[in-house]
Amino acid sequence: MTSTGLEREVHAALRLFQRLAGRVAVFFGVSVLVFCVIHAAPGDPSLSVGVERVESADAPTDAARARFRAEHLLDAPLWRQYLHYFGPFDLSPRGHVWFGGSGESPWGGLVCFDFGHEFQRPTVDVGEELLRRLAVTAPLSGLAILFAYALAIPLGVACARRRGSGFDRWVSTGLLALFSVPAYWAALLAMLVFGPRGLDWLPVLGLADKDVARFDGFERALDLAQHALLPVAVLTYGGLAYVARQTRAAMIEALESDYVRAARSRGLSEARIVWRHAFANAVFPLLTLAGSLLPALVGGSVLVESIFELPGVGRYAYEGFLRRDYNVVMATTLVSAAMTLVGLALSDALYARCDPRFATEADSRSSDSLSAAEARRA
Amino acid sequence: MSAYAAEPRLVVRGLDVRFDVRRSSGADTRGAEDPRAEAPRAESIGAEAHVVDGLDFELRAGEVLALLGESGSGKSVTARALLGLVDPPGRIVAGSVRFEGRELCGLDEAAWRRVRGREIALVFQDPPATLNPVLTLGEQLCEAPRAHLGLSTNAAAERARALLAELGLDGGEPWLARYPHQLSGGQRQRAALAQALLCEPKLVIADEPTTALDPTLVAVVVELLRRRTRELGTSVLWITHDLRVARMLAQRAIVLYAGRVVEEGPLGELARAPRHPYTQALFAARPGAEKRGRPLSTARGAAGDPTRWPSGCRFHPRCPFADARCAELSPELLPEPSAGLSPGLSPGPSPELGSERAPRRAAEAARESSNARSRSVACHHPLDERAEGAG
Repeated sequence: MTSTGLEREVHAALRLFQRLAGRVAVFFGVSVLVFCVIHAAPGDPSLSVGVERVESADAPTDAARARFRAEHLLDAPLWRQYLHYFGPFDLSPRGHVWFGGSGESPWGGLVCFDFGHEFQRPTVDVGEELLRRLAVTAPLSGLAILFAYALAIPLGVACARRRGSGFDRWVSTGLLALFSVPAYWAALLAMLVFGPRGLDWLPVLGLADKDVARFDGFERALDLAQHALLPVAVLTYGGLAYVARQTRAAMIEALESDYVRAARSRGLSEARIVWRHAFANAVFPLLTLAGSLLPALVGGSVLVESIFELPGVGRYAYEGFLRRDYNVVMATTLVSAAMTLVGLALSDALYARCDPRFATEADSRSSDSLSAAEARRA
Repeated sequence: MSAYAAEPRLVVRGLDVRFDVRRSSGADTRGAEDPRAEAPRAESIGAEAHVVDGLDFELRAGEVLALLGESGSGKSVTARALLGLVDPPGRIVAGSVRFEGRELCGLDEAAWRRVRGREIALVFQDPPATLNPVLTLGEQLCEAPRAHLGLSTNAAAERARALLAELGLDGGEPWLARYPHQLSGGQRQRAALAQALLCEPKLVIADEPTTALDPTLVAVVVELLRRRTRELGTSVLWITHDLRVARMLAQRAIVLYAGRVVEEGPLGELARAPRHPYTQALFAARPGAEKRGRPLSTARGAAGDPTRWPSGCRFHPRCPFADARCAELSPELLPEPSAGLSPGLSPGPSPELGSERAPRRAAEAARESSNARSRSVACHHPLDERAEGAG
């Protein structure tokens, strides 16, 4: 209460720094964990060496495997492998001279934002490939989340207002059913119904027609929209059901609160009661939810992307797992982890911006102590 | 206009509120379980709770009427019914609520909204809880005057500041820019009261507003309402079980038991000479009414299940004076003997509808002719003993 503006600023900056440091530490903890887990998993990346390069999918020669294992430090102790991955020194035979390397590429690793190269396609930089995949996944997931919220909020609010009515029962049951349907099943069903084997309304594989090069701008856009429609719909419905149920629950709680009863008794319009009074309170759990949806935005859906053959991040992770490509698995997992942490930070920040009770933490503490004093007097 | 002037501001006749418990027995019983609604609990499934049963009273301009009764007697439901805000599964089954000559029962929502907050305001049991935590005081105080009185934001804010100052929140602080959590408990209570009174409603229904208030603020509120009744002719329905506070403000009182009025009269007279055994118990249960050191006298037990009220006189299972007749005969409210009518017992042997209706009509006729303001219950004790003594 008596602290000056400067002190408060310093305090806020310190708190921010603490949180940031904590999140960075969590991130590196995750990287260690994931690294150990994938190395503990059965399978040997060197078994699939050269599969993509050599047309005849013969088993790689022993010499090639040995070279591959040395190149990627696969026979070194795990801590050394992790340090190599972490950076900033490259510990491979071509790495920094301090660690017995040839000095060709002394630096590298995670701290340099270097995710390494793909095991099977050494010319492909994992970081660059990841960005290309993100360009597919992020718009699709972004649209899905946008649609989910745009539909779920009015639906949840309508259910809460008509709680217990036939409308509410039907919609709630429908949402529960929708929520219970696995995405891969829905994806397959959508393919069968709308694809060439069913109604033949929509293309079901990939994001572009094979003749896309010949299309003009409008045709290209239409083609993209047609290809994206089913994946976006399948990505939307699960989130939609979840967000709608959350909205309904939060709105019911808000509509039953004393401040809404009081607002009613003051003769305010229904729109004002529902949106300005109730929804303003019900929105906070939805903000938290939005933060947790960010990793989904980036990580994409392994299953949905695999089924629709979309070259997205989820499918990239799946391919990486199949080939035991440690660099790909690490990169896709870590980006998801980073996005989870960023999502948490974002929903915290949103909370702080939107909820006045958070925004003025210091003030509320002083008035709480004041009311306590008043209560003692009384 | 003459009829308008002759009729009291609020006339409630035969108000009957029931809660259909069957409907709430499904997934959500939370609304019915809300203690503030004094609604029946979910155990009494398959029945109808008769929470307010044939309530009659009237209230004049500038008058303060106390509505007394223990919890569960239907006080809060009455308050909500007068604003058309009985939550489902409750509903107003019968009766009429006339406000300034206009029938309120059966109004549509849009018409109700013009009454709520502007003509009739409700002050809740726990005023601070009626403040929305995420809106500034300015936003929640100014919305009603803007909607009802068509004031500009500035004019509404001016009015809000004036009322807050009257309630003791003044002195240069930007109160309207504050959020509820930035206020102390007492400040919140003041703000919430201002919220209800800002449109200068003609009738203020205060639903046990002082139970959660600081003692200092009780005095402030009583003083403010007293001034409002004097200067603006505001009527107040003061719902309480706290007789001490009721006597600070109210001239007249009605006593509610198990959804029915058991006694009505000037508060002082009720306190001095309560007629109905329940009223006696109510006034005896007041700390200070008896000598220190002796245990506080209370009515034994509770009013019971509103889906299965006792037959006859609803108080008889708890009444120290009850005899066999009490379980059969439903007592009727009749004007005081001083009003020119002698009290009588319901003549029919059974509490069936026909026998109940006849004396009620007689009572109504008597009330209309003499416009009696005091009514007591035609109960065998102690009234008919007195009547026998007199006769």
